[in-house]
Amino acid sequence: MIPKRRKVISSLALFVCFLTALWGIFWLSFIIIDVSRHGITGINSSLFLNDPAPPGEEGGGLRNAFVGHLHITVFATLIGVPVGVLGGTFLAEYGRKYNISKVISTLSDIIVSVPAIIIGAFIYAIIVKPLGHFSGWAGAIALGIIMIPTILRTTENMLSLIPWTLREAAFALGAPYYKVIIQVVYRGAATGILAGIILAIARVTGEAASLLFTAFSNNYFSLDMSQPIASLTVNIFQYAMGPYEEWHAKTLGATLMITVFIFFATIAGRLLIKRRYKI
Amino acid sequence: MKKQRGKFTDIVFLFITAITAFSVIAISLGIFIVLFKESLPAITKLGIGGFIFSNEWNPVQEIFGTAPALIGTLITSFFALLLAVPIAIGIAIFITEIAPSFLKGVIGTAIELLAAIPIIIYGMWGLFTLTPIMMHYIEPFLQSTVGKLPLFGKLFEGNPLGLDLLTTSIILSIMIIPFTASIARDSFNLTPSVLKESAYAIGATKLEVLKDVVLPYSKLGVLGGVGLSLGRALGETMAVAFILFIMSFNILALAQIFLMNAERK
Repeated sequence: MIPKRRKVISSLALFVCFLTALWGIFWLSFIIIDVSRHGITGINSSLFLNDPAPPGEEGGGLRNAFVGHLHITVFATLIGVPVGVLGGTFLAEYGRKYNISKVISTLSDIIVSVPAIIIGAFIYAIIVKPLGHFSGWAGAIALGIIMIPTILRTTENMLSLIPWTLREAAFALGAPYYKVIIQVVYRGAATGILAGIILAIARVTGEAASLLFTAFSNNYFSLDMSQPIASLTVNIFQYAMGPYEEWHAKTLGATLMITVFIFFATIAGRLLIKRRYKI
Repeated sequence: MKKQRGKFTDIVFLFITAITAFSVIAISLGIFIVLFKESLPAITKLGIGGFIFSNEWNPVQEIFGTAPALIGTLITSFFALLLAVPIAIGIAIFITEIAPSFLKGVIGTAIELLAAIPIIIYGMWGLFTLTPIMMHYIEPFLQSTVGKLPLFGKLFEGNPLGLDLLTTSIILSIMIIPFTASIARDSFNLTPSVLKESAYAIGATKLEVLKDVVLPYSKLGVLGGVGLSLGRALGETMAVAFILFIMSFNILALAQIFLMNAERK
């Protein structure tokens, strides 16, 4: 009799856990279905090919925001990837014996969890305020700083997975350390580092709070990185708050595009890691 | 000769990597120093106590009391954690202990995707979908039933517009569930299976194994995950901005908050 009661209680508890998992899946599918259902109505060719029309008028698109967003992200990647990869190399190779490397690892873990808006405020104080205006460069630097610690940590972890004997074999042939790193260690860890970079790009693509303080926004088509430049996420924020139905449709279209991009990037990054390390 | 050139390049490479690594220290120190320096005028004006407890917000006279913002942040984060943590632990248990292996991968990936959705999309979705639902169905119902309770009633008092602390808490909780769940899952997975098997061998049910073996073993990891998600909930800006700030602040006031106060808002 008593063992039976324990079994019933146990299966009840497990059923509750099953319900919570359903709850999580429910919200995920709710959000995805909702974003795509509304988003598809907002996607048409003029969304990509036209600049915004004056408020309240029909037509227009978000071409400036797509181009601006691409610009900011590309330059952020150009800043974040070299610094992150090389810094991770130092932590895993040259500096692996020193305590300072552990300090740097911990600090970058802390920066990863610092809210992006703090990074935005930091860049605002050191770049935007002295220059007197918002600029695309400030946005790119802010996103680059957000990328650095993520890439740095992944690179460090991936490099330390490479067996030490591989390096010793290269040393035995008389190769200097930098050649060992570039030709042996990087080659072994390339997939892992690439996955880390993809995940970092996916993370900054959805960044809005820090761009609000740095790149701000621009209603016109602009390729000039030293001026305020439009970005999708800030435009989503402004348009969603606006009163016009036209704006809402565009916001939802842009939201769908960002979500789709991030999903693909995330899945690609995870698959790369899984295939390489068979976790 | 050739060997020396190799050595020289090696030192140059060492230098470049060292500089990039140390830039992390420079960035983190820079953030603290700059935020401290920039927020000093706002804090000294009222003193630390006034800065935290005053609820006067007057940009013209440069008086910035942060009590409303601070209390709002604390309340929403607290309720978000209250909603999210039990569910996240349930999901972690489901993934590690119950689900058949083909579901493990699917649900694990789904949770990770939920974590990858950018904050701004949660905010958008909250504004366009969740807010009307709260406005039309849930809040009138809650107000007529439990609205008189002291602390809980505060969450949705006044006109049921949907743009309030309760909606914000729900969005925050949806946002941190995947985060907490994946950390809890990882710490559950760390429990040695020998321990679990020996508990099963003396006739324990699954619940008893979870309660007496897995949870005590992974307690610290789960707590750490909760702490991290609290940090994430406190630091959330955009999702909250969509729902709450629409009522009282515009974007520029929002900018002032974060520049004049070094709050982790």
